[in-house]
Amino acid sequence: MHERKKNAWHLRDVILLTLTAIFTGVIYFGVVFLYNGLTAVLTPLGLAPFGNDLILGLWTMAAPLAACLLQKVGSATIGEMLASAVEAILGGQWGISTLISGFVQGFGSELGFTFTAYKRYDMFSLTISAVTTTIVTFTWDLFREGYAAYHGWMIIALFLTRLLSIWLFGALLVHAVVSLLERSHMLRTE
Amino acid sequence: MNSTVLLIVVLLCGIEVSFTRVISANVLLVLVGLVIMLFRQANWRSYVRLFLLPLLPALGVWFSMTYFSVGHDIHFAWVLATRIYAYSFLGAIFTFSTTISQTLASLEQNAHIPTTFVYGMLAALNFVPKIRSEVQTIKVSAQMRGITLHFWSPQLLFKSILAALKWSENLAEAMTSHGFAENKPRTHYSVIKISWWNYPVAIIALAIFQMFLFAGLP
Repeated sequence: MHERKKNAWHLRDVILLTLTAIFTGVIYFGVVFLYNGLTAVLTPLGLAPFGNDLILGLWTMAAPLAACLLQKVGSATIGEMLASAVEAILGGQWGISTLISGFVQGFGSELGFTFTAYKRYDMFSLTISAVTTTIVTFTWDLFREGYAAYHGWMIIALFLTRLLSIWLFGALLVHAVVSLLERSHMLRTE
Repeated sequence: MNSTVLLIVVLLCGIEVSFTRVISANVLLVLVGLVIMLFRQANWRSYVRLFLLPLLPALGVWFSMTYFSVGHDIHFAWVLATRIYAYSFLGAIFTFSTTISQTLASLEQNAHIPTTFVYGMLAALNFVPKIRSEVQTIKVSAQMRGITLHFWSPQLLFKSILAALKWSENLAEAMTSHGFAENKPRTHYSVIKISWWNYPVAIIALAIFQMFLFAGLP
């Protein structure tokens, strides 16, 4: 029975992911001011993209979190898209175009879990997922944010900054939260 | 215009803008956004918000492109700065043309997104005020025990997810007991149809945009 039903999406799953997305939105709302302050300081130095990449992990953590919570094929992508829809609806700065980045980020994260065939949801899988998220979103931003036009050292430094941010939030923090949930026996994965 | 058709047009324009380097196309999107806002008699605060919010990211990318791009590409710096405004105004084109409930209803009826997703999202979105107070409660109750929870604390997210798990279970049960059946056909009080003129308008709008993108304008 579980084999057949494991990948079906139920009302409870959709509500859970949307609620989690709103929760993270409320928790990290204040970080946007921090980000704006950081960007304002870095702007005259021409280093503003580093501000963006430092907190990118916050926007991408919905995907690994959804993957660990539901452990379904596609949950990372759908989770991140639901999160970006919530962001667009609740009046994020970028409106409807967050849906595009949401899909890119979710797909990047999803790719990581395919490497472990959706069998493992531990630090190893989360780290791989962080790496694939970084590679996919960075490739996207080579065009969208024009990163490809920078000098080589700047591209490498931006890549490493982004990897660090995505790993800290999407792997380390998510892993800490998920192990707390496992210890409290609140996750129904089977 | 029908929300689903508009959503597709806006997303297509957004993707195209990401891969092209045409300042005038970005400016066109901003102008279209402004015209729609004027037409909808938008509040003056919306104009201020839409001009100020993207200002910092736009300045940021302009400076870094001018300093650190190969060959100090000023043209590309302007492309990226106006692109950020184009994204914001693409969002405005959408938000000032339709509403959230209209969009979700249209996505359900016209784009045939599974009802589980549409109604699940709708149900959860009503919880925004409750979620705000729950985060506050978690923080305050931790403080009463002498613990300050920061945004990077796993405890804060953990307790939020506990609440989300509990609420999602209850809400799903409540909806089921009120007669909601997952992905079963539904009848609708307000039926949303895509009028015939939506298609030519969408195609003409996209065609004009292509002309701006590929006519060799700066």
